[in-house]
Amino acid sequence: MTFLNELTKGFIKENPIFVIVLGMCPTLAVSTSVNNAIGMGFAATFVLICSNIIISMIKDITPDKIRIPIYIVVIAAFVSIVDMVMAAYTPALHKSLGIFIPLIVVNCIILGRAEAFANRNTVLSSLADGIGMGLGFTFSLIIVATIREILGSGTWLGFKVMPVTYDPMLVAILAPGAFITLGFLMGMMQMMKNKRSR
Amino acid sequence: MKYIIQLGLILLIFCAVASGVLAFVNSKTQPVIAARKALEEEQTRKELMPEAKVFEEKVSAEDSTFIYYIAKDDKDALLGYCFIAAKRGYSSVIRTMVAMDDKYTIINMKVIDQNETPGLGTLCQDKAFPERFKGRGFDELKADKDGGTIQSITGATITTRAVISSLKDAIQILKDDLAEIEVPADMQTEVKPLDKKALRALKNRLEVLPEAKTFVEKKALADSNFVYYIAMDSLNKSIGYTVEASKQGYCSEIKLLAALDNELNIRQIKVLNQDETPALGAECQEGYFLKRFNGKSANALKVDKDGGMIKSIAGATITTRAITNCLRDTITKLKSELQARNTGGSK
Repeated sequence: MTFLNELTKGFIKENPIFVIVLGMCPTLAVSTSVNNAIGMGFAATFVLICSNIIISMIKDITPDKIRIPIYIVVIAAFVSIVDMVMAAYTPALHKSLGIFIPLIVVNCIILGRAEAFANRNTVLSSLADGIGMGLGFTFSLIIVATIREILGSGTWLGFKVMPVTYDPMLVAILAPGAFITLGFLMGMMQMMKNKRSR
Repeated sequence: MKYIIQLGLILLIFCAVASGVLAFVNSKTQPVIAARKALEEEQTRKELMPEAKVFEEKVSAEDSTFIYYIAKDDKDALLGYCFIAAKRGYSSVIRTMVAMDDKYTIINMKVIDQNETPGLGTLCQDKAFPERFKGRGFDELKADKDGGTIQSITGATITTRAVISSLKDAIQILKDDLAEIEVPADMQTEVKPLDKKALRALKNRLEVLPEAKTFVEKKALADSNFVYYIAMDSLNKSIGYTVEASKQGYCSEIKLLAALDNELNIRQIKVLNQDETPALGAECQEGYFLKRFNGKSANALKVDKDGGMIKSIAGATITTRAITNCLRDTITKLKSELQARNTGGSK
């Protein structure tokens, strides 16, 4: 029960983007296309799972005073591994994610989960939390990216979905479009929550 | 105290383990990444020049970071050249692979690396963009916004300009590297025919002081980094000096070569290198501007905006000022150097 709970909370109840509002920088920057969103989401998920497991494993030997630098070392190491492996085996994805991969280091979802969850829970539930939060992040990124890509380029995952006569709304894939989309989605999320609690 | 050392040690152990893991992954992925990159470039070269059978790799003699390929067909006949031009655009460095024929006309090109604004600058990777460059020579590389004929990408003039300017720079390096430099036969010089850098410097000196037959290199007594040349005619009589000078302009380092007569008045100057704003500061290499300095002595070198006589380029006072002040400082320095030599010699 609890394992399943940890796994699913990332999607709606504790969605890292729409509810906890963590990791805004990568969300705004890479949600221009669904392809980027999926790549970024899975890269971040991988790092999140690995760092959650390791941090939960070493929580007893980590002195409280220096836990943050240690977390950063662990996270940065995983990000560098992801960066190198992606550059070697999926160069196209690596190219389109570009500078955002190193940015995973400072993605506050990862440090936030390490601090709020992994360092006081068992390895198993930290793994579940990592998967749940990571997929929740990926899921939210894909939603934002779907709206932006369809409106801004008239495509979805690179395929044309809008009629030929559709003139792409450029603003959607520029920075303002990210904020506008995110604002609407957060508002809708809150509305749903309010309705349910009533 | 003991506790602090303990904390430090724990952190050290964590970092050491992390670096070890990273070193291991790096050693495994590095060759794959390098091989993939090389393969990608090779494929792009073949895509741009399908007729070519052999690509001969060459490194520019002057700029060792610039690598180009000489393309030959199966009968070993020269087809053209292939190289990568790179320059900073609006938000990233844009790398373009270019294929040219042997007359330096662009056959085809492809933007291979960029991270420009989505929907605007990224359009440089569309099929339509390279079409605008096909069949153009060096002199036709100019954006429509700068009075040329290459159509800019709407909303991405900076990207377009960066690509054009990267092409021009690269073609220039390529041309320089391939060109045979001829020096008049009666020129007395110790420069080896293969040392292109030195040959080019000599050619530049000759351009500003064509009457010279010999240049004698001198290093300043006070500052061995300050090098100047005494120009001699066929009777070994001094007819003047040439000296190089450089100073930061508005957005780039401006490098100048000045020819001076025996009284240290400017005979002629030449801009060797600059990367100022197109259509404004970049005007400083045009003849009409350079003429403004001819015949001027160090004291007369002052920009009109500062109450002097040198007319500024409209919209590029900073560039003009940099050139003027740079020349004045250099001539003053040369003057004191020559005085030092004279007094030293008479003693």
